[in-house]
Amino acid sequence: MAELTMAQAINQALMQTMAQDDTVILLGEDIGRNGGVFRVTKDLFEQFGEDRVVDTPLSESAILGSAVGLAMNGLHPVAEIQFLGFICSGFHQIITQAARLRSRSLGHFTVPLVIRAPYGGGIGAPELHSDSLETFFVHSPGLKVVVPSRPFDAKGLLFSAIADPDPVIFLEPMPLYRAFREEVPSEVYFEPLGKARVVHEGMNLTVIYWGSPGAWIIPTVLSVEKATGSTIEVIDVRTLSPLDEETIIASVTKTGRVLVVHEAVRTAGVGAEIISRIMAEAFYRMEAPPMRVCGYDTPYPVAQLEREWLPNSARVERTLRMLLEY
Amino acid sequence: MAKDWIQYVNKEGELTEGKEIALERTECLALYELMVTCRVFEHKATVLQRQGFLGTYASGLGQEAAQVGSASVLQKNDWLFPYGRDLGAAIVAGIPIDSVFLWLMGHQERWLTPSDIHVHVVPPAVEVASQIPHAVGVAWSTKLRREPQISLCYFGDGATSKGDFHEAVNMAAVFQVPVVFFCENNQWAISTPFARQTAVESIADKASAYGLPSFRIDGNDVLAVYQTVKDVTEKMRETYQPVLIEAVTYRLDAHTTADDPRRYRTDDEVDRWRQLDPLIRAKSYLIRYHQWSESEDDALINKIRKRVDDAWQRANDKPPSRLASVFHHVFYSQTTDLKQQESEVQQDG
Repeated sequence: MAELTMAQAINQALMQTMAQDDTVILLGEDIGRNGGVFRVTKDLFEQFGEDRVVDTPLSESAILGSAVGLAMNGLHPVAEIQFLGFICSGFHQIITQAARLRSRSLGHFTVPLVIRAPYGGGIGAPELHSDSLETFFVHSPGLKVVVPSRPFDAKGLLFSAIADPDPVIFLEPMPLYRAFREEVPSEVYFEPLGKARVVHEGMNLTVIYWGSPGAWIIPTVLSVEKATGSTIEVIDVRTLSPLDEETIIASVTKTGRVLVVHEAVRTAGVGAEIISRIMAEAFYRMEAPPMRVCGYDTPYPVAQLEREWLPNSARVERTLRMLLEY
Repeated sequence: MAKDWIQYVNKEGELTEGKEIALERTECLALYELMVTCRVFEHKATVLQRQGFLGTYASGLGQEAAQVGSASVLQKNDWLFPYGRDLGAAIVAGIPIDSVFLWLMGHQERWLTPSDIHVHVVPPAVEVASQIPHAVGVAWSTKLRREPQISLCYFGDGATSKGDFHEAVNMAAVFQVPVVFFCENNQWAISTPFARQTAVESIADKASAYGLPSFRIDGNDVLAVYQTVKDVTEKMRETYQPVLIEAVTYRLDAHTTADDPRRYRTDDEVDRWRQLDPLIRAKSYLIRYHQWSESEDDALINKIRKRVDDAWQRANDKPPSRLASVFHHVFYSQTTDLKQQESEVQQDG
């Protein structure tokens, strides 16, 4: 087993899938000779050639719409949108087309398509490069939405996403591409879609997150545990749609307190959905009101303010203490 | 710099000078029968909508030559991407008429595609121009597999103002994938006239911006449409080169059954286009060159009325849709949430 970054783990998953299955093709802007702006598709062009690693025109709607067509006729396209914010230029092809084709054709046409996009804040990028737009896709029946927060999951979830018979939005937290390495099996393995992972067990409070907070949430939780003597369970949701309600409810039923952490703006974020389900299923077990630490309800801020604007260790620590004392 | 105009048969049903038609009588009659089928279907659907059996309906009346002439050219495993007004083309390509009625009724079994259908007919695009990139993707997949299938993609003049048209045509030209971009320029997008969609004289002129060949044809002349699409697709099956065709036609009916076109266009204009009705022209041609008779024409219309009436009967006899069916075909395997919601519905029902 080698220690890989998330960017390397994703690259390896693409390399191995494409070697096994010649119906898998990649398309996107600057993904071929350039290997992608984050080098996630590095070496694939050289390995598989220009018919399977396709540099497209700068044309999000044509990338996504033609990927729908490729998928309709039995290929397994993996489309890259260079930054999630740019997906808005082709948004309708996902929401009104890819998500609905199975249903409107009664299963006659299907769209086994993966749309990969770097997303999330914290890297000092220009405007529209840092937005967390996952709610749009979760709110659209017919799509699956996956967010890995570590290299091992990124590889195993990507295999599952490509094998899935339906469209999958695969969101890659940019700050985690090279934040750390971990051991990643060299072989093919499948992490199931729709399954959350309990990354740290505890009895007094449940923290639920996805994506970038994965880089710092555990040290924050450990320091609060140490200071308060409480134990805190931490769940990485990994798949936002379908949501693993079972794991979430089991944990909160046990702990009676919950904090949801996400980078997306708070109002109508996926945290609201999670909390609503908790209140429906674990109402009588709650010891404190459910809380959220999220992006504020503003357009994503300028680079100088993003660290304060984003959920961070200090904001989470404050809220954890408040919940434990409630 | 509008493109040259391709016409084989003029409005009197006479061969245009210098043109020859290679089709036999039976082949011409087959095209005519399909046009009559579309026309009878349009009339039946409009009546059924007025009687409250169908939802809002967008008629393709007047566009039969453009639809029949092009869709008839398709071969086994080719792909057809209709827009909402192309129900006639879909019928030509093998979607059963009762299935189209179910679509218009808002029945859950809408657009049920027969498993042995000859051509891949995608359910009609509702979001204007959204189907054009799909046609490019499908054509791209056939080229990657070195297969001879082509994609025929319909859209109206309004669609050419949308980004998806430009992005898709550009991409098809860059990758050289076998799509016929077939614009049914029917002069109106609801109340917006062609001159408000574009400052060029002809949609066909737009092709040069992408490096594509293009043709501008008399879209009310079924033989011009058929011959042009046939020639273009025969070549395309070998070269993969995409082509843009503008079929100039006219939307004789309202935008939909919910629209009143007298608010924005004159009766005079509609009457002028009625003189160019594609069915009248095809019939005149058959009478002039193939000894077609009024009595044969009446018999044909009656035969098709019966066929369309029978299809309506089958559609209308279907049991009504059940709410529980909406939970199927969202995903390949039902999610836990959908299972739970379906069981809620079953319990309530």
